[in-house]
Parts: sequence; structure tokens; C-alpha cells
Amino acid sequence: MITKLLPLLPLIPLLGFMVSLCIPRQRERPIFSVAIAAVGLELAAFSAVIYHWLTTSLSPIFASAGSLYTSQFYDFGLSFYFDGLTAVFMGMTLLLTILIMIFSKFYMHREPGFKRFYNTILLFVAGLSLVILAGNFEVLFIGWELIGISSVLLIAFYRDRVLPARNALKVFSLYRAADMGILAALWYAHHIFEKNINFTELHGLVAAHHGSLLLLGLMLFAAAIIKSAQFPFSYWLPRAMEGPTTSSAIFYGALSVHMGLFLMLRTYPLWQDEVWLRVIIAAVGLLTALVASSITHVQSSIKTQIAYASVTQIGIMFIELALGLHWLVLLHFVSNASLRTYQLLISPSVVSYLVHDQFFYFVTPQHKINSSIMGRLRATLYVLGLKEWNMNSGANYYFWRPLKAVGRTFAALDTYPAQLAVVGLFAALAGVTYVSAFSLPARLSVATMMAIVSIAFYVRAFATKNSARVCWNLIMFGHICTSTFLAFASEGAINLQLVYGAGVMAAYIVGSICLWYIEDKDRLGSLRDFQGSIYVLPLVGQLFFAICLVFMAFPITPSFLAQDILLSQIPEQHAPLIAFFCFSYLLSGVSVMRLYIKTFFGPHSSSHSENAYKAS
Amino acid sequence: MVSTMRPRDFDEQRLIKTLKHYLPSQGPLKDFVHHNTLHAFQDMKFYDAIFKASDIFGFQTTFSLHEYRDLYAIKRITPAVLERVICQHKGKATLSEWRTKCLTEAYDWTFTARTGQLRALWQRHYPINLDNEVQPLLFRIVCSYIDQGIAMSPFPFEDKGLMYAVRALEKNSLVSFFRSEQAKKLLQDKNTTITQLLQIVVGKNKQAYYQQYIYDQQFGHRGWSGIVSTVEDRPETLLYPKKISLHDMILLELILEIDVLNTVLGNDWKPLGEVVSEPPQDIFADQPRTELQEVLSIWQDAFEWSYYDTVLTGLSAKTLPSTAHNNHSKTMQAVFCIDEREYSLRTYLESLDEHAETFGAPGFFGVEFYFHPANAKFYDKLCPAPVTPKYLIKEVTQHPPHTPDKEIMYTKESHKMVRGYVFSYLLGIPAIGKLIANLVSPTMSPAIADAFAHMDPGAKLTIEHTPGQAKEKGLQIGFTISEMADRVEKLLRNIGLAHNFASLVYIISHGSSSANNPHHGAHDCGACSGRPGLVNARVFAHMANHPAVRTELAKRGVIIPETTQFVGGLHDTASDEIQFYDEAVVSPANHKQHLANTLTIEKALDLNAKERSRRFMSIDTHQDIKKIRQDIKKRSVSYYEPRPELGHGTNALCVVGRRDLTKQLFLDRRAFLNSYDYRTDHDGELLGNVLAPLGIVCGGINLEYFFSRMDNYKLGAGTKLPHNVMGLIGVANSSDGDLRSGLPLQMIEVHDPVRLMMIVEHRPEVVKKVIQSNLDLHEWFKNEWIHLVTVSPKTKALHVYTNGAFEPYQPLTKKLPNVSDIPKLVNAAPAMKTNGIVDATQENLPVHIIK
Repeated sequence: MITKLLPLLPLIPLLGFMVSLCIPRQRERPIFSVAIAAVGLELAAFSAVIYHWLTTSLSPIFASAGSLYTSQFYDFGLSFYFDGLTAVFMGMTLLLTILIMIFSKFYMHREPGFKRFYNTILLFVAGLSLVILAGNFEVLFIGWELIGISSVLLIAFYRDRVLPARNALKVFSLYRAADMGILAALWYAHHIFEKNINFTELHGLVAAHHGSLLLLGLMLFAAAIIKSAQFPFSYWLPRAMEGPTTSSAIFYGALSVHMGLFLMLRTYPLWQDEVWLRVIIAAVGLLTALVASSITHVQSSIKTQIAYASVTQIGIMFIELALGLHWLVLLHFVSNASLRTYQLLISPSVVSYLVHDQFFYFVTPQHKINSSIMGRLRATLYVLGLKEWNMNSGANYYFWRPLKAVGRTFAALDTYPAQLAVVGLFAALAGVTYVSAFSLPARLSVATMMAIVSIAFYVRAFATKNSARVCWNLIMFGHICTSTFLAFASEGAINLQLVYGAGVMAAYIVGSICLWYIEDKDRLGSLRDFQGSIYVLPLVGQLFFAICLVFMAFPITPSFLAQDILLSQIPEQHAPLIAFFCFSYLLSGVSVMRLYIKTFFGPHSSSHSENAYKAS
Repeated sequence: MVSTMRPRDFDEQRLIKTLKHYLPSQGPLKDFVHHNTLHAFQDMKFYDAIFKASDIFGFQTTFSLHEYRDLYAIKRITPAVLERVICQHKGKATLSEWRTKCLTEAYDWTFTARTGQLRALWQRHYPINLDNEVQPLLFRIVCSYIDQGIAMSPFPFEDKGLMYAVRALEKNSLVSFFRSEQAKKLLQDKNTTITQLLQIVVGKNKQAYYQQYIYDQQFGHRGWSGIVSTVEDRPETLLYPKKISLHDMILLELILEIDVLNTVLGNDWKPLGEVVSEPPQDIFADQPRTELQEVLSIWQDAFEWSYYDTVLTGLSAKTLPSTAHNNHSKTMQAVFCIDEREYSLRTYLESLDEHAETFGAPGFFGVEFYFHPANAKFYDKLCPAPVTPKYLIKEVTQHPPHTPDKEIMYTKESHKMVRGYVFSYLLGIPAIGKLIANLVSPTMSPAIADAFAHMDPGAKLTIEHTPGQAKEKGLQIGFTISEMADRVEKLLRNIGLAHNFASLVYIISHGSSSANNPHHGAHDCGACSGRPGLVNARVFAHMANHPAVRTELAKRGVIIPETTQFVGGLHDTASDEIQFYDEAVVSPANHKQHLANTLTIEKALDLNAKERSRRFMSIDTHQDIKKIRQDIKKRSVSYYEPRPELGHGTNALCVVGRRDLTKQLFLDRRAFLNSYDYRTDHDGELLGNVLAPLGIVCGGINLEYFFSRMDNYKLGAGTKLPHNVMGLIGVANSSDGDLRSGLPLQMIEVHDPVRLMMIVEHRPEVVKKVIQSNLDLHEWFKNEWIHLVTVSPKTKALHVYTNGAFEPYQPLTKKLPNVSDIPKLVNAAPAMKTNGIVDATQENLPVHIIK
């Protein structure tokens, strides 16, 4: 019974989401009722599980809801897992979500995006539930991606302004980078344990492995530090606080930002014996705490201040984690999440409170810094804090901007000859494969070549300022190359190729029709500026979003499933190819999302009336 | 109009001076003083001004065409008025042609503002988004510098100006804000000028582009530039004084631009002026009005006059012979602020007790002073913003002074690393407890702006000046007897209350409590510089009760009977509560009447709350009235409530005259009411004083709402839900955003943007003489930023002020609907048809005659 209930938990908010989609957007009461009912129902089911768990001597519960795909080598099982860790995280998620939903019923009243807000929260909760209840990496990854997608929607909630749109893309890119860590871990775990592992068997597995658990741990930790905004990725957190205060409070103040921590807690049995990993975790935690604390000290805006204060504490949680103090970590998580949610919610009150406080207690601060070593250090810390230790500018300077520069040099890829050449290459390879098999070294070099070509296309798509349709084509060519690459790198069956190809192709065709339609009905400018087409064609915008999910191989879409399985079949000795794949996964996602955001978000130029300034 | 400069001779100082004129002049949030958002254009005629502002800066200054057409379709704009307006604008001959244009013609609505075009070219010629790279750091530096107390570490070296501080910081720090050597050098060179930097960025011989470039740059973030400019001009608006100038900010921004250009493009860039082919533009060049603009101005006039016409019909209607309540002794007289939010309360008070009489006067009640709360480190200015008082009133407490509670939850302690570690364990669960508590039953807390908390009712105030007492910071402590008498006499005479006193006269100021609301000051009393007026009410009552003042007043002909007593009070317009001060002075003889009056006022507040509740979704207007009162109070202390009240959202009219003029009208809380009795002022000697502050106070409020409503994205602050408080001085979206000045969406959504119509009850020739003798005041009417109408005494003839003369006006509306039961009318109000989601907010109700 309970094992049947467990997989239902994440489905309940999804169901609520489906129902809510059908309610007209002006009807605030029914929208709210559906949302609160969904989360309430999930809470009820959760309570039943808790009750069962408490009465069965706290032993972990494992439940399987079948498999998405099974073969001799690979099993994409939908399994779920419940233990003390799940109980704490799930409890906090549901409690805070319900409180925020009630709060928002008044707070969001008469907001044009009222429905969108509740729908996105339901998606988010479904994502969180999946991650928290996941019984294996596959399910966890689905949830992880769902969080990323709903984050984009929450951050770009005010999608008619440029900053939210830009920051949504920024956060999405980082989340996508975190996904690379999990993807790599998925593949690596599959290889070192020679099967798809469940979280129930982590303890037992460790002995049987033949690989580096340190490496596996590092892959997971890479994903964790990004998702939990640790150094040097902390800068995304304040920039995610673009939506209504309530959603910032709950997700970026409390829940989403602790998910990296959760990942490490969940996989603790896997890496607990890796002393070096513990040292690294503690070091990153400590560094983050110190750096974030120095940034907190100089923040002059309230939400950024709370964001960095929260990051500081999460840094300390990682230290506690490395020391193996699990219950302390959990307690710290619960109190930090609660405190920061509340502080963010009442952050607008700071004007009344601090000004009043100042009126009675003001002392002119000591602003002199002497030229001693300590003084110079303080000045240095001040400048570093103000510049957020160059985290944001550094990422731009050393990663995104060079990437764009590279992309600009590939301008030729926009043209037909280059694209025809790729099609020709693809056909030739297919033809040759049909006639005779490649030798292993040849296969590997073809795979590597195709991986590089696919990355070139994605990079170009990411940098192009041409029209959206050109960009869409570029991504499609990237996919063609990726599929060829996967085919040559793995021993994958042809049918998986077909699934991948069909999924992507279908998305490509429908997407092209959408873009053509937009060009016809609205207009399709270059990707230089934000177009804001969603204001003219909201339905197309929604449809196109769904298509983009397929096109970026979002989990549970056929393209992802095929990709994932093919990936698992890449032999261990081809590890560099995994790096290529992860990179192309990052780039395809980011290019697709950029295209979407630039086309549909931002101010629509048809009226100067309802547009904010770019800087606001 | 500030003249624009000719190209070639570039003058930094002059450029900055003009620029400051156009930047928003909203001060830090703690004092919210409403003003005309387009104050820089106030020397032009209204339509010329708004279209010019629109051309230059891209503001939307009218509704869009379809909004007007929708209003026409639902008869909020009437065909008759539209017809008349077209005839006035275009002449009778072209009526049908222009009517077609208004109703059906399609116009191109795409539009490019003149500012912003030049700097946008950077991105066309180079792979760089300059704003993106420069603004976040610039805003951070400027915000940290001005910060009033959010950051835990103050900006080092901040006492000698922004540039000094940045230079000193750079010298001492081991890391730099800049990456390129050129930028570092330019920063450290104290002789670097804006012109010099412009030569680098725009080009040596490209002076013709300089002005345009700086306007593009500064209007790319008008919020930050505006606050810097305001703080520069009025440093006293900050508690923690900061020395900053717009000049420094521009200098810093140009250096940052050079740094980014060098870093991103290396040596591979040329000044903008040398790469563009577009000729320089004079952004202030006059442009002929387009046909679309003509149509829009016709529509706006038609929209305004469709409403005014009904009001004027109501005002000129024959009234019932006023019930001769002069014969009966009055139970009370109550002087309220002119604020339109007091309109309904006054109506209910009068209808509950026909012997009650109400008056309206600007809410500082003519007493201007600084207030020093016990133990406070600063003074509060309690009078209209343009006035600089010479007096200080101090709060003196016997019992331990009330210093505000400190709650660790709201302080910065939990943001520190080690202390935060401890606090995050200790405070987490209580935080959730507090959140649940506020959801279930919201109550007042230290984090909530409490209107009543501005003064300790038990404390004494130093109202009377002791001769020989030393001045404090150049301010005289308290008023002398004759100074008190001056003020009491002036107010009483202005409002026509110089005789027939009731035994109890209430002086009721107003303020507003609200939670989670950085704009709470905007709901307080505008005549008290955006603060609650309770101290003023208490001070005035004390003065008017003072025996020596009474003696002095009697000498001047204002005889207040000995039995008459003044009682001060505060009306919280959000929670609908009234608190009285110094009730102990009420004599035993008056005590019973005072109790009876208190009950009447309490009942009036009930009804007032009910009338207000129709706009609020969370309150069921049909439930028990006491329950409504509770719900209304709850809103004022709920963190989750972005609309504790709707502020001046309904303002449209300002009536200067006797209460009898408006008593028979239901105006749906849309009128400022300033009492004035023409019978005591035949030649308009007092009228000048009465009208003088109304332009800036009521006109300021009205136009701030007007423009925030018309363009909530650029002239308003947008929705307040994502706002992030910056440095305690303003709000921005996101961590890197521009400061948003103006009013948030939640305050203006019920507002019908019509210019204020001021209605004066006097003879047109008297009013004309009075307004033309005050140039500042006259500008508002002459340039049509405020409409002016006179209602002649006795005949009730109407005259409208047009082009410097009063013209007779015949209302088109023949008959107004009647109402006998206001609560019923209010309950039956239809949902708003023209404004976004129609779930809850109801339409502004038409004018009714109260039977």
C-alpha cells in the first residue's frame, strides 16, 4: 500500500498542474483552491507514509513504479525511496509551500500572472518531490531538470522586462552545467557498478565497485555546489530573486538552494570513505562561508544580503556534512530555510524597521580605514565583496564571452553550404556503416569528430545574432551530429537512434512551423534583441516552450531517453567522449533556452507604452 | 523651459544643470512627498508638455487609443462630451471627420524615444553590451555609497564625496574595480573632467554628440541618477548624510565605460562619434504634434469632462434649504485634513449626527515645526515640504522613554557568519511560528509601520516657548503666545470657523499603518511631508485651548467661548481607527458630550470601513459591520497584503468652499475638501492663503497618480511584488536593477487618470484676481495642469478658467441619479470594466445626489 503511495507523491502536484491549466486565468479562487488542494493532498499522502515509516521501526521504504525502459544492460527504473532524510526535506518542502501558497493568495491578488505563478509553483514542487523521493539517479535527474525548468519560469516571471529574462537564462545555464555533473555521475555509476543503482543498495554497492568513488563523488559534488550556490557559483542566487518576493523567499531563500546539499546527503554512503572528497567538501564549504560572508557584509540591498547570508550558512552546512554530522546538517537546514524564507518575505519591511531603529539608535559609522596592513586588507575585502569576488564577471570573462567569440568565428555555419556539407557527411557515414563496419579506432575518431562538429553548431547557435529560424536550424544540425556521435561512440541499437532522431525531428518541424507562424503574425527579428512575442502569441509561446523541452532533451522526452541509454552504452574507456557529450548537452540546452527567451520574453516593441526601461 | 545649448560649445556645468532638471526628483522613501512627475515641463501647456516628454524620453503619457475607445463603448466617455470637446479643439466644421478619427481610424503605435538612440549604436558596431557590463557595478558602488544602513560595513572614506571615496578605496585596496590601466589612471587623476572622458569615449572633435550621449547614458538609469541628483540638492533628506553629486556619478560611469571598452575590445575600438554615420540629434528640438497626439488629447479631454460634467451638474443643482442647524447647539465640530480619504468619513459623521459639522484644512493645521521624539537622534519635519520651519517641539517623557523594541529577527545580526550560525539555529523555528501567526491572526509588530507610534500619547510636548530659552540647532523651542494666536486665528478664519463654536472641536489628523510596504510614507499626510499628522493635531488643540491664546484671539475678533474645547486626534486611514490625545483636558461639563461624540465617530468609522471594503477582495462587504472593521484593521498589519489601503487612488477633485456646497453629493471619496467661507471673505483676501498650498499639494498628488497610472512601467514603480529595497532609499527590481521611482501598480490600479479639477466657491472675478497675483499658483491653471472652476455664491453659476479668463459653463448632464442609502449603493457597485483582471476591484461610482 505504502509502496504504491510513494510514487504518487510527486504526481499529485503534477495532476494539480494539469487541472489548473484548464482554469481561466482570471479565476483566482479556483486556481488557488486547486493548487492548495494538490499540495494538501500530497501532505496527506506524505503523512500516511510518515506514519507508516514511524510505525515500522524507521526502516527505509523502497518503491518501484515500473520502468521507462528495460534492456539487458540498462534499466531506466522509476523507483522511489523514503528515509529520515526524505522525511525532513519533504516535510519542509510541503510546509513552506503551503504557507507560501496561502500567503500568495493575498499577495498575488490581481497580478496578471496569478495563474502562471501557482502553476509554476506546482511544477517546482513536483520537481522537488521527485528529487527528494527519488530512489535512483534517473528519477532524481528528472526532478533536478524540472526544478531547472520551473526556475526559468519563476525567475522570468516578469518576462516583459529584460533583466528577469536575462537572469533566468543565466541561472538556467548554471543549472544546466550542474546537470552535466549528474549526467556524468549517472554514466560513471552505471559503469563502475555495472548496473543502474538504487539508493537502497548504496551501502552494499561500495564494496563491489571497480572504479574511483572519489571521481564519482566529485561529479556529484560539482552538481551540488552549483545548485547550492557555493563558491565560485554563488552569484546566481541573488540574481534568481527576480520574481515575486514570495517565490524568491521559498525557492531561492529556502528550498531550491539546499538541493545540492540534499544530493550529497543522499549519496553519502557512496563517498563517505573518501577522505579527500571530505576534505574538498569541507574546504569548499569553508571558502564559501568566508567569501559569502565578506560579500554579505557589503551588500546594500536587502534581498542580496539575505541571499548571501543564506549561502554562508549553506557553506557551513557543507562543512558539517564533511564532518559526518548529519543530524546537525538537517537541523541547520530546517532552521536556515525557515529563517531565510521569513526574512525574505518581510524584506520590504526593512524600510520601516531600520529607519525607525536608526531614528533612535543611529551612530555615524566608522568609515576610516587606516593604511596599515589590516586597513589595506579591509579595503581589499570591501572591493572584493562589492564585486562579488568577480564570480559573475569572471564567469563571463573566462567562459561565456570566449564561447561567444568562438561562436562568432563560426559564422559560416549559418550558411547553406556548410549545412549541406554536414548532411552529406551524415549520409556518407550512414552509407559506409551500412556497407561495412568501422574498426574501433575509426569509430572513436569519427565519434570524436562528430562531437566536435556538434559542439561547433551549438556554440554557433548560442552566439548567432541572426534570426531565430537560423538558430533553430543550427541546433538541429547540432543534434544530427550528436546522434551520429552517439551512434559511433556507443554500441547502441539502431532503434534508439531512431527514437532520438524522431523526437528531435518532430520537435524541429513543429518548432519551425511555430517560428514561421510568428514571423507571419508578429515578426521575427534578429536574436540581437528580446522580442517579447509571448505578448502577441501566448499560445504559440506555450507550445513552443514544450517543443523546446523536447529539443533540449528534457528528461522523459523520447530524445532524452534515447540519449541517456545511448550514453550508458559508451564504454568506460571512451571517457573523453563523455566530457564531449556533457558539454554538448550543456550547450544545446543553453542555446535552445536562449532562443526561447530572446524570442518570447522581454519587451514587445509594438507599443512603447507598456515597456519598462532596460535597466529596470 | 530650460533652453537647450547649441552644439560646439560644450559646457559641463550647464549640461548637468539641465540634466538635473529633467531627472526624477523623488527623495528617499522614508519621506514620500508627492509631486508632479513631469515637473520639468510644467512651464509648458499640459498637452504640449506631455507629448514633448513622451517624444524625448519615451514616456506613455495618455491611455492607449483602444483604452479610450473602450471607455467610450461603456459610456464612461459620453458622446455629447466627445462632440463638444472636438468642437472646442477643431471647430464645428470638422466634427464628423475628427469623430471618425477618434472612433475608428487606425494609427501606427510604434514609437522610438529620442534618448537612448546614440548609445544603442555601440552594440551595432561592436560585440558589446555596455550597459550590461557597466551598470551593475556602477549601481552597486553608488548604492553602497548612499546606503543608509542595510550593509554591515559602511563604504570606506565616504565622508568626502563619491570620487574621493572611490579613489581612496582604490589606493588602499589590493584589488581594483577596474581592469585596464587607462581607467585606473583616469580615476586617480584629480583633474580628470567629464569633457576629457567624453573625448575618449565619444571622440575629440565630436562635441556635437556629447549632450546626446550623456542624456542617453543618464536616462538609461534615471532612477539612480535621480536619487543622486536629489541627494545632492537636498542632503537633509537623508538621516545619514552623504556627499554625492551627479557630476561624480557621470565621471565614474564614463571611467567604467572606458574600462569595459578596453577590457572587452582591447585596443580594437574607436570613439563612438567616429564610427557612427548618424548625425547628432537635438533631443529637445520641437516637433509638430502628430494627428495621433491630437486624437489622444481630444480623448483625454473628453474622458475628463465626461466626469467633471456630472460633478458640475451636481454642484449647480438647487439644494434643499439647509437645515437651520445654527439654531440648535452643535454637538461637535471636527476639522479633518483636506485629504479625499476623509471624504466618506465626514459624510457619515454628518449623516449620523445632523448637529455635527465638519471642516477640511491642510493636515498640518497651520502649525509648522520640527518634532523631536524623546531619545531620538533626529528631528521630523511636520509641515508641507516646501516650508522650512523655525520651531522645534520636543517630546518629554517622565516614565522611561519609549525606545522601539529591537527584535533580533529583523536586525542584521543573523546575516553574519558566526553569529548567523547560532541565530539560524535559534531563530528558524520561531520564524516559522511568526509566519504562521501573521497568516492566522496578524497583529502589530516592530517591523510594521505604525501611524500611532510617532508620538507617545503620555508624553508632554514643549509647545509653549519659555522666554529666554536657548535655541536648539537654530530652532526656537515652542511657540510664543502671539505666534500661537497667529496660527490658530489663520486656520480658523481660513476655514470659516471663527464663530458659532460647538463645545467640542476635534482636530483630526491622519496617518496610515501598513506592513511590508516600503511606500508607506506615500499613504501618510502629504501636508506633513509624508508623515502622520498626530503631533500637529495635538499641538494645534493645545494652542487653541490655551487661555492666553484665547485672550489674544478675542482681541483679534475671534471669540471662542470658554466652554469650547479642542481635542486632537489621529485617524489611521488604513486600519480605520481614531485615537484622541490629551482627553484629560475635557471638562466635566463636556465629558458626556465627548463620550457621545466618540460613539458617533466610532459608528462613522464602521460605515467608512464598509464603504472602503468594497474594493478589497479579501473582505466580504455584506458581512457584519464589526467584522468588516476587524478585517480592515487586519489588512493594515498583514505582511501578505500589498494593498493595506488604496491611498489617493480616487483623487479627482478639490473643492474649496463651504461644506454645504458638496453635502448633497455622493462623490465616492474623490474630492479633496478645503473649507472656505466666501461670506467671511468678500474680496478674497484669505483666499490667496487658502489656495497657495493646494496647487503643490493636491496638484502634486494628482499628477503623480496620473503619470504613474498612465505609464506604470517608466513613470511608476511597476508591481511592488518583486521589489528589492536598496540602501533604505528606494526600491529596484532584482539585485542589479535601476531604482524605480513613482508609485507602484498596487497604488494606482483603481485610479482614473484625470487632472485635478479645483472648484472654488466665489465670484470668478475675485478668484481671477487672487490666482493671478500668485505666479507659482497661476502656472498650474494657466498651463492647464489643474482645471479651475468657480461656483458663484447664491446663483451657483459655473465658470471655467480657460486661457486666462473665466468662461461660463453649461453642464451637458441634465439629471443625476439619486441615492438615499449610501451603503446599499456601495454594495451594489459593479466590477471595474476597464482595468485588467476584474475579479475584485469595483468601478469608481458616478456622482449621485443624496436624498
